[in-house]
Amino acid sequence: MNFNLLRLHSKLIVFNLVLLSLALFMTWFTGEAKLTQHIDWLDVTGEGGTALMVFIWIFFVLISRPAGRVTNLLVVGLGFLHTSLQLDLLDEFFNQKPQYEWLRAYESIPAPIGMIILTLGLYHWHREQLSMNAQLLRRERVYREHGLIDYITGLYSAEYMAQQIQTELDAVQQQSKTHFSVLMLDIDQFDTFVRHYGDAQGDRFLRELSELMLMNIRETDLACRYAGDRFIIILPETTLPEAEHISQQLQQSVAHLAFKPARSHEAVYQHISVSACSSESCSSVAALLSTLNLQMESIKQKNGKA
Amino acid sequence: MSRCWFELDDKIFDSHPIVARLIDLAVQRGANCDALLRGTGIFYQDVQLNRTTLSYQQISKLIANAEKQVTSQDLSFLLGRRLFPSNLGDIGLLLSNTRHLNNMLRMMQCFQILLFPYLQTHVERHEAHTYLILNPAIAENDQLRFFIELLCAAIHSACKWQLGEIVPLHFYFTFPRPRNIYQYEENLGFRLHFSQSLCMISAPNEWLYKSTPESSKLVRQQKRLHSQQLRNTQPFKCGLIQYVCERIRHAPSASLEDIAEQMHISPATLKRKLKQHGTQFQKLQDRVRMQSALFDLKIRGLGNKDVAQKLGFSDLANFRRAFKRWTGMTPKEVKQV
Repeated sequence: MNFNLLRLHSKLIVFNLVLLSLALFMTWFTGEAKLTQHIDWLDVTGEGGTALMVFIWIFFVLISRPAGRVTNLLVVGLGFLHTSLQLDLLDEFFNQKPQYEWLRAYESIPAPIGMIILTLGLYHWHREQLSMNAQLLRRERVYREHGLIDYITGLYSAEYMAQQIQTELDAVQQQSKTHFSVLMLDIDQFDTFVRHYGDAQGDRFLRELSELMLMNIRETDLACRYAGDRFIIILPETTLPEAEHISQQLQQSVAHLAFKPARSHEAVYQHISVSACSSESCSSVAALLSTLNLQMESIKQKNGKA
Repeated sequence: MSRCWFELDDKIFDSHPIVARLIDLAVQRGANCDALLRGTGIFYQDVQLNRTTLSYQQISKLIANAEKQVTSQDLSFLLGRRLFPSNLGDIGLLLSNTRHLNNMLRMMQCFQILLFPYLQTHVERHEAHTYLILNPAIAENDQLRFFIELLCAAIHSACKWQLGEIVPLHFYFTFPRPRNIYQYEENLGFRLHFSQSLCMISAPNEWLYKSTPESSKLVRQQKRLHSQQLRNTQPFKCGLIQYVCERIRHAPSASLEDIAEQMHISPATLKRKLKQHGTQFQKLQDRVRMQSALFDLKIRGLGNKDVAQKLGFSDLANFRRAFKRWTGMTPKEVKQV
């Protein structure tokens, strides 16, 4: 697990600790400890378990989300809920002193407040998710599977791509969609580039190139990383001539990308080779990919740009 | 008398060419450095200052950790692609100044201990093709595949580097089509064959004798001398399994006792050592003989009689029975596949 995000939440952590100690202090001050034989251990396990789970939820929210309004609402809401549960649990160990009996009434107040805040947080989270989905357009379609995201570029990996091509092929076969095209992109002499500037710069270049690709494709298209310096773009309901047009645009735009390795102000220009294939000529994912790979090799062989 | 083979816990490997780069790559891909080194007995600072030598066991553990931490499944290929020539020092300079690929292949064989002692490479030739058969050299463990991927990627990119164009190498693997097939296609080309009985790389001979554009005779001779001197200072010749397999290849019907005697250790010790390295004598002997028989039958197209004689079988029925045990098929069936 990665705990880097915890550093952003110092205020929220303090808030929760204050709530926690407040609950402890109040019970200590207004109650007296029960005798061991009067403690109902079944209740303790049940209530303690629930309180612990809510505490774990707070922890996961803190380590997964950057700071911001939605995070605040979620954590504060859960914090209140946790306080109520905490008071319930402490009740199992303490008897309220008679003069503080009226305090019992307030014990259940934090829970509903927490629930309301939490619900508000979830509503905003939903709004946030909708805008994130719009941001992910052209990187993701319909189906989410975080295990298949490539770390370097943030694009989906080849496995996801193969699933999506299969979905498209099925749609074509059921005649719910017209034929689609697939582009394969490969950076020319990327090995030389990496030898010269190092792996870290190579990775950065791949990341920036994928951003550039995303800018150059349509909202319906999907870009994935195939392997190494090779990418795939799926163009639904697109004929081969149209795909070749897009491929030219991509090549031109990459050729103009003035990449600056590390702190240097000298730009390095890279070129890409693109092979294209339409679903009209291939009926399976494997056939489509091997056509693209074969084409790519002959293009590279011809240009002498392995 | 000191032994001339090394074992999995001998700390003899320089950390520079593979380990340091593996750590770098994994960290760049989001791995946690502590988790990466956990249980390996490797210290980050030692690697940083290049003041440590490591054992095969430690490197294997590091690879296992890295594969767990990084999901991209391309670490072996990335390492392989960049291994040659700049990460190999003098021997890299020697290889990049060879006359042609065949010359490079010979130098690779000569200086295997300096170059890539993790796998045993063995050259066979037939008609227009040259075959490089890959086998474990030190121990049989789960990281073998990583080393195979690494070496294949290194050879593929070295050939490309030398001739400036893609050499049509064929790759044969014993394992079935893997999940990260895309990495294989991207790094090795698409002449890939899975679920094969031999793990090997084949190249057409006409490519092996194309002269390398930028080779210097003087540098080659100089670096060859350096490499020879360096090799002579090595206390070991090769890994344990490679050592035993080479003995078996010289005498296919030798027994465990014969080999142990040649190694100046007791049969019980040899047995124990082999077990510790994940294998048994019988397995190794079967494999050496099976590989030789398969190559002769399938690729050389020899008859059963010749193959049986070559392996020291007294009669054909015996050979057929043994062959069936090794491969699950009769020699005839294997020829037809």
